[in-house]
This record gives sequence, C-alpha cells and structure tokens, in this order.
Amino acid sequence: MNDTAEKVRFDLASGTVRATGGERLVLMPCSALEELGKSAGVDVACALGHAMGAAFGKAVADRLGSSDAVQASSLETVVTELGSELAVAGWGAVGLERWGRAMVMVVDHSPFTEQRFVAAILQGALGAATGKDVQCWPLGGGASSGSTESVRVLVSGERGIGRAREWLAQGVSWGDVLVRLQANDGGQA
Amino acid sequence: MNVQERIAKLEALLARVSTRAGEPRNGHAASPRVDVVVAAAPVAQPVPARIEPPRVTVATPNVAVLPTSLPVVHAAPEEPEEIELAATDLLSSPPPPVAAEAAPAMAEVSAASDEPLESRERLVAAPAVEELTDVQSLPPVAEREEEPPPSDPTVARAPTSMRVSEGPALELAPDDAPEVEVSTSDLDDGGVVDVDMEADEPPASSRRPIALEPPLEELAFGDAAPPPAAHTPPPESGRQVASSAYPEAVQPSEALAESPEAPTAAEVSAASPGLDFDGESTGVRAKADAEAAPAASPTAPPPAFVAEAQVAARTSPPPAPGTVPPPAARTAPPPAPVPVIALAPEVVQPSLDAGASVAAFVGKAPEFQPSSFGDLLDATLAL
Repeated sequence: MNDTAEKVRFDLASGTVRATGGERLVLMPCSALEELGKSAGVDVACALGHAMGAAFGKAVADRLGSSDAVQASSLETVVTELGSELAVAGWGAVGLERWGRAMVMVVDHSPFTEQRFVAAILQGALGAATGKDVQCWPLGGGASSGSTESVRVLVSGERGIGRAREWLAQGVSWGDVLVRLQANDGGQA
Repeated sequence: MNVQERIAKLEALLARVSTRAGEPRNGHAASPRVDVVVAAAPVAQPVPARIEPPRVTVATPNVAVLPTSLPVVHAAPEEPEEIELAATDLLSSPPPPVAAEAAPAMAEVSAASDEPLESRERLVAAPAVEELTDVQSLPPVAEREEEPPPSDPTVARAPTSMRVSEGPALELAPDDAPEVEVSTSDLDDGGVVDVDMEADEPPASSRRPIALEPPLEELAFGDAAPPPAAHTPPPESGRQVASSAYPEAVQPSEALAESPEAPTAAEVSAASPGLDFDGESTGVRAKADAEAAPAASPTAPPPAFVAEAQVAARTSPPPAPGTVPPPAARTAPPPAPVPVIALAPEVVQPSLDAGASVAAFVGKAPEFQPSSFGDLLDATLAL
C-alpha cells in the first residue's frame, strides 16, 4: 500500500511548504508556468519539467529504497509510488499501459496543454527512479494536440524514440507506431 | 423557203445519205474531216438550248446519239457540204411529220438525259465504234472475243460514231447507217457540225489525253501478252457492284444483245446516258451491267467463269444489312445449313462439411509477461 500521509507539510507559522524528505516546495499557478514556457521556449520548459520529474523519481526511489529496488518492484508498486507523487503535486493521474514490449505512460488531467512538458516530467521521474537513460515522447501528435484529458507518452530508448518520432512525423497513427516498434525490435532485447 | 421545199430538200439529203451509208467505209479514213449538216427541224423533242454559233467542232465525248438515216443528218465525208439554215427557221418552223414518215427510224429521247452527268472524268474514255452502231446487229460474243480490247481507254478507235454532248441527249437508232452522235446544243447552234474522223488527233478542246507513250502493259511486258487480270471482287462500298463473271472481251452491250431479255439500246442509253465505263480498267460498272449478268445466265457462260464467280461469291464478305447482294452472290447456290449444337455446361459442386475441423494449432504464441518493472523497462528500452 502506498503511504501518502504527510507527503507535504505546510508550516503556516514560517510560511513554508516542505515535502516528506524535507525538500521545500512552492505552490504556484499553472498560468505562471505556461507563461514561463511561452517566454523561455519549449526547450527551457522541458528542462524545467525534467527537473521537476527527477524530484518525483528521487522521492519514489527513496521511498522504495534504491533504483535497484525500484526495478525489482512490480509494475503496480512503481506505478503507485510514481502516481502518488505526481498526484500530490497536482500534475494529474498517472497510469501505465503495456503494448507488447512497449511501455506507455498515461497522464490524465494534465494541467498543461504542452504534451512535451508532461513527457519531460515523466522522463525525469523514471530516470531518477530507475537510474537508467530513459527517453519519453508524447504519442498524441506533439505539442499542439490540445487535449488535456489524456496524454500518452512512449517510454523507450533513444533508438526507439527516434523511429517513433519519424513515423509520427509521417502521419502514422500512434497505434501503428507501436505495432511497427514491435516488428522491428529484433536483436535488441 | 417554205415547208414543202425544205421537205423536198431533206428527202434528197436522206437519199444521199442512204446511198453513202451503203458504200464501203474505207473512204472515211482518207478524209480526216466530215462536215455534218444537221437540220434541227425534225428533232423529235424541242430542245431548250439556245442556238447561236453556226459551227461547232465535235470534240467532247458526251454522248447524244442521232442516226444518220434520219433526214436531218447528212454525212458527206468526201465532199464536205454545208447546208445552213437560219436559226429563226429552226426555231419557228414546227417539226414536219413528213420526216418521220420518210425515215421511220427509232427516235427516242433519253429519259435520263435531264439528269446531270455523274462524272465528267468518265467522259474522257471514248467508246468503241462498234458498241452502239447497231444494237440489233451486234456480233456474237465469240466474235467479239477475237478482237483485242483497247489497251488504253483514252485512245479512241476510228470513230464511226461521232459523239457530242452538251445538252440533253437524244438517241436515234438507224437501221443500217453509221451512227452519228450529235448533241442538241450543236443542233441549236445552227445545225452545222464538224466531225473529226481522226481519232488519233483529238481537237485542242478535247480533254482526252494524247497517247504519246506506249501503253503501260507494253512498257512492262514488252511484246509478250499481258498477264490476265486478277478476278478479285470489288469492294462493297460505293457504286461499285460485284465482279461480273463475264470475260474481258465481252462488253455489257453485247451481253445484253445476246440475252433474250436484253433491253433495247434506248434503255441502256437511258440507264447511263452517254457514259461508257471501262470496267476492267476502272472497276466501275454501270448498274445495267450488274443486272445484265444474271440475265445473261441462260447463255451458259464457260465453266471457268462460273467457277470464278462462285469463288468470288464465297470469298466476298457478307453484304451490309439493307444492301443488295451482288449478282454473283445471288446466282451462287445457298450454303448448306450449319447444324446448331446446343452446349450446356455440366456443373460439378464439391461436397464440403461446414463443421469440419480444418485447422490445427501447434505450440503457443509468445507472450510477454514482465515479472517486474525493471523487465518491462528493459524491454521498452530495447525497442
């Protein structure tokens, strides 16, 4: 069972907000982040999101003990710990879909319309939790999909993400991209 | 000059013509020019053409036939004699009935004379002299075969029949006089017609080409006999009719003369007034020729020609709907009926059981079941 008790501690006397590990938090409106992303650019926003996700992953690894413990854990355990971290921070509900050998993270109710920003958060979280070089790329068609209800993010290596981006750019649907990834993964497993 | 005087004069002319017609014709070759004085009064039908110039040289081969036995024609080959009549007399004086009584010749006006000529080019070919001189006294076919046909249709033979054509054609067939063909326009022109008896020297106004070179057959084959013409059926389209089964030497008019159902010369002239197609060189035959072929069948043509006609009928394509089949095809016996065989397929259907188990599954499809998050992460990173 995931223990979400007192993950965030608000000290009203000092005016501070701290996480379970003692890390200080700041509550800020989403519009401010969107304005930052618009003014600084997508790459800067993605770097911000990657740093935020790494904090979530580190918290998961700390909770489970280490990166190896995270890898050794079951899918449900890892998804529960990671989902609880993002839900407390207000980044939406995180789920996991397994399409054959492909791992697809699903984020519902994301506060941002920029899917690459959400993908950057997940990339940082998984990398920090497992200690591996993980690449994430949204399957919903890029930054201008406009859907904030559900964002699917492909989790794979650099080679797999590159091929998926190429096919998506050619107009191939994300389902066909996942199928093609299954058919062209021989010898890499 | 009153009517009686003219009649007397015309009778004298008739007697003179009759006497000269009985004389041998060698004398014509000596005199290259014959002046024919034609009196327009006894013309059987009034001619609407105008009468202006008194003399017209006979050159164009459009045909209007007038007999020399009529009192209106006087042929004086040796001593050219001209009797000129005033144009007013020709128009004002009615045709005297005495002329018809004095010379009861056949005078028929061509029914198709008012029709326009279909081809001016066809008029170039001058007809043979013997063709229309006397229809009733045409020689038999065997005699005609002995005479070689003219190799070049443009080269005219010695023209005992003089033809002129400008207006409506008149055909008057005499009994035993050389045929002189004069157009009514010439009659209107004053009655004086100059007839050139030399066929080798056509007048300058003639459209007939002068044969300056030897015939093509002679150039190609020399003195040897030319190869026989191929008896291929003519095409179906156009005015052409199917090939006739008659030999080359047999002319259509001769076939008509042999046939008991043969039409008269006036009928032939009515069918094709003034036209004489050389069928062997052009492939075009008059309609009367096509109709004359089956009419001449009682004369029993040689078996070789009958065989050729049957072969032509078999090899020729079927006529188009609405067209009249060629005479050769009509004379050929009908083909034997082809037996109709009804063909029906024999269907054989396979007997298959819908519940038969035709598929056998061997083994188990590989299923990825990661035991931990790390297994799935490694698998997805390997994609």
